[in-house]
Amino acid sequence: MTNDVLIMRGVTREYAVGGPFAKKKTLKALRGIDLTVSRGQTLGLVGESGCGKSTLAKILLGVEEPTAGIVLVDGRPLNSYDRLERAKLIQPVFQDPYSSLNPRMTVEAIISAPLAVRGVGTRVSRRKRVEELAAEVGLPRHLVDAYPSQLSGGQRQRVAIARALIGEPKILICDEPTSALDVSVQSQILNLLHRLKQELNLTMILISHNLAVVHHLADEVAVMYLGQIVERGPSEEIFERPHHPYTDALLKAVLIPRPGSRLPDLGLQAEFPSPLNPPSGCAFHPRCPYAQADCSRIAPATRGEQRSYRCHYPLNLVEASLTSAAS
Amino acid sequence: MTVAANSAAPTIDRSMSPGRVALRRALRHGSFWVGGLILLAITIAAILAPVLTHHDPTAQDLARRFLPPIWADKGSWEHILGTDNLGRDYLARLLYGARISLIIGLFTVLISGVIGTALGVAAGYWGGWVDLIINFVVTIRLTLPVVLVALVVVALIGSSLSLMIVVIGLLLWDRFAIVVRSATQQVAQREFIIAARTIGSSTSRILLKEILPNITGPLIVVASIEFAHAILLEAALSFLGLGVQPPEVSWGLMVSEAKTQLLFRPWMVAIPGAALVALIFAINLIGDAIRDVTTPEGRA
Amino acid sequence: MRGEPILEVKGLQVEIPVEGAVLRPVRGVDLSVSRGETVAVVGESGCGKSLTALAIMGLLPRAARYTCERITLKGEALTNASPRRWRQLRGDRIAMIFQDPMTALDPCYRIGDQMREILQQHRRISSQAARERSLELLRKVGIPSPEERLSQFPHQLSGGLRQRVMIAMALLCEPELIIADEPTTALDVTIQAQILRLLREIQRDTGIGLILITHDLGVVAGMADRIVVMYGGEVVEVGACDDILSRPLHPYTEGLMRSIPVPGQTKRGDLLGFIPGIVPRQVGERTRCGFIDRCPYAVESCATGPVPLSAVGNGREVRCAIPAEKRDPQAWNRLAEAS
Repeated sequence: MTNDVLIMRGVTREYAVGGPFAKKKTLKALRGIDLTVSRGQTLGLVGESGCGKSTLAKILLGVEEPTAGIVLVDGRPLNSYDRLERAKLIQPVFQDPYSSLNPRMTVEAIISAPLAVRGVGTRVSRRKRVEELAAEVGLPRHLVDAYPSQLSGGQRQRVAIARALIGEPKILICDEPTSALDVSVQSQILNLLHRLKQELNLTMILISHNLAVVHHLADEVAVMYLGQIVERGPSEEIFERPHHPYTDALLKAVLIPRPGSRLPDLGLQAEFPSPLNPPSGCAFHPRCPYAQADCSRIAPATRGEQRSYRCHYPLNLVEASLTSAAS
Repeated sequence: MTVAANSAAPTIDRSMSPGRVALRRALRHGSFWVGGLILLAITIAAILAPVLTHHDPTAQDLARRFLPPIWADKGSWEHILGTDNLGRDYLARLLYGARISLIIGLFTVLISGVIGTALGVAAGYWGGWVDLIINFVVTIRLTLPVVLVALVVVALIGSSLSLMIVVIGLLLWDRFAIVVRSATQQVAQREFIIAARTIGSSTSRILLKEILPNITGPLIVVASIEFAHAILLEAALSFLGLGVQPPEVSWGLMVSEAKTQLLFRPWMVAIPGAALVALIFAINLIGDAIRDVTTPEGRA
Repeated sequence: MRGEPILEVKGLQVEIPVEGAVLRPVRGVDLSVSRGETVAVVGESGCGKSLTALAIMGLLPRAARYTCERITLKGEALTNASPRRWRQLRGDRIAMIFQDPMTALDPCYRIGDQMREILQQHRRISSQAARERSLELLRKVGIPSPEERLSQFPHQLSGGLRQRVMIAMALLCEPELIIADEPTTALDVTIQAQILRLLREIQRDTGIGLILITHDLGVVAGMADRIVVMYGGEVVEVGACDDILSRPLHPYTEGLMRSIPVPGQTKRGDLLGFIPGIVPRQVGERTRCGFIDRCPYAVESCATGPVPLSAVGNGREVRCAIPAEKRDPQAWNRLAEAS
């Protein structure tokens, strides 16, 4: 029980959009998220832009407050921690290392900022810790005195990782940690993250639209669509036997650099709906190739425990009925 | 294992801080040099006024009124720029007058800069209601005609150097607020601000250490504009007789006192006028140069 | 098998003077596209692939200088063509699709107006006919209710729809060549597949030559006939798509292929390959192999002079002095372990 370091129950986030004189609309970025992450586990959060994955990250980081629902970290509600306690528990690594480092601070000042804010140690002891961490994340020692503009994208991302790790957090939230990087650099950061998570027994939430990256790092995968988790389960199972048609489409959309590979036909209709005006029933039904009449009327509930999904006609059952009909 | 392994221990070029990079680029900028040299010359002249001339700028010598400058007939080395209607040395008045201009410029910019930056950062960082209220205050301020308000205040309370600094300082913060607000909005969107919040930084730390250093470029540019603005405003008020009061000296006052002689002794207007033009020109050149060297920054 | 050549570029160079130095981001690139062919120009940021495209389109930033030994479009020599001639060609016979349709479309004008303007720029055509043609193309690229879209502004469309509009606009004047610079990088994965399929279908129907500029080898695998790999402003490898993907010959291409995690091939937590070091600043003349600092196979002789692009048969060319059979097969592994 104590092993569940992060528990989310019914987390909802709504925004009122529209100017002071316009009619207010409600944008439901998150519509009741239930998630449990155990210690040392890496959860991959997958979905397209607008699915709410970044809002979820902001809630975990305390930058946004949920409008409903509860987030428990280490058994206590997230909002019961003060700002420094929370910073010690949860740290982020952002997507764009060009935007996430203050151009006016040296690498040393950036990495040691979490300690400086907390008033931990002296300048000398912090410097020593920064040098240790720089070595840990594979940042050449002499770059500790550099400014971000003197660093390459990969080096910047190493700085961001070192900053996140210096306070020894329990949970690391990586929001598209490699998508701003070149392919050959991306692999180094993935190697680094994987090594760190094993050495430090980090709990990691990996947010990405790149399924190959998620496949490479995550133990568990949660697929999000329009503010809901539509499928969740152990990484291998999700990748081998997706139940939700949306997960299936996402997996097919991964373009593999292999000779003779063809462009996939996802069979998806229409485009991603507006979160301001979500479809009735199952949110995925306007795009779903397997949608039936009742999909547009009745929203599917979450089914399954370890391996859960939100679909009236999940692929595993459809296949099962097809094979039984054939025999 | 790579052949081209780095032989010497790598070191980092410490002179690459964004501030120093901007300074280096400024030093290669022509107008920074021209403006800087003029401003430096005027500043040195103002500071060293007692050394550069032995005349007292307020000492009257009615026997030697309206002496012409050195380049005219009957000019003398004793009074290089001649004397005014009360026989005071014009060069001494010009040098001591520079002090007034620079002091007014410096202190009003300090006052208005602090007010405007505080309001602008607050509006840009918090947004929402704070932004709305501050915008309203800025709009109110913009509806006030600066010269008229200054005139009224000085006319009501009377004139002194410190009063003028306070009045002008309290009137010229609007541009600071507007520019700083939009610069802050841009910086506040960047992820390092969110990162600073997630490491538990206090709001004051975010404002002072994360945002302020990243808006110094536009801040300096506005400061240069307002510096020039304040000097011109002082000159205008003094010209109207409501600024610096005799026997104090100021360039605006010199123009004012000489205006009756415009047709007969044009140099008496031209000399302080030219000094004003040179000073404003220099400040604007420096401001332009700073804008040029700080605009494309961050990524390098 | 290959059709007639549409575009041939030889010895393309781009120089950009910066403070105190001259950057040389493109150094002698040769490129050719035939009818109905898709050539993928692959490389990472800073390799010069986008500047190559902009140079071909005559859209380089003003500070940049470019020289080219020869550039021909369907036999017409354009090496010394006037800016006026380039304006005529652009949008008419060569069209470009950019990465971010939101910045490439003018936010102040309706879709229909933007399409009409392109048509009237290049054709004597009535507004009514232009409207018909615009509708026809919007339908062709699969945009639902095209009449409505004509009167909409770019911000009213989703990212996928905007990219479809960009493609429709590129097709307006029936160009012979389309240059697509990272056309799907800004899009979601499910939309990416749709857009790429659309491009591929249109190309099959019309026989347009396509230069696809991308960093994504997955996109390349699904789209390209031929691949041109660029590094440091040079072409380092050329060959048929499947040949290169199954057996990359240049160490850089090899390193790229090793860096990519592939679901089903690599397992969770496998140590991925990578290319050490960073792309050096592209200044000065080449005096040695441009990849030497990052190459696991590099030997002394690689530093003695620039390496030429040499044909190795089967239509393949490689810029590497070390033949494949002489390379140490363990080099990459040792590199990964050393980190």
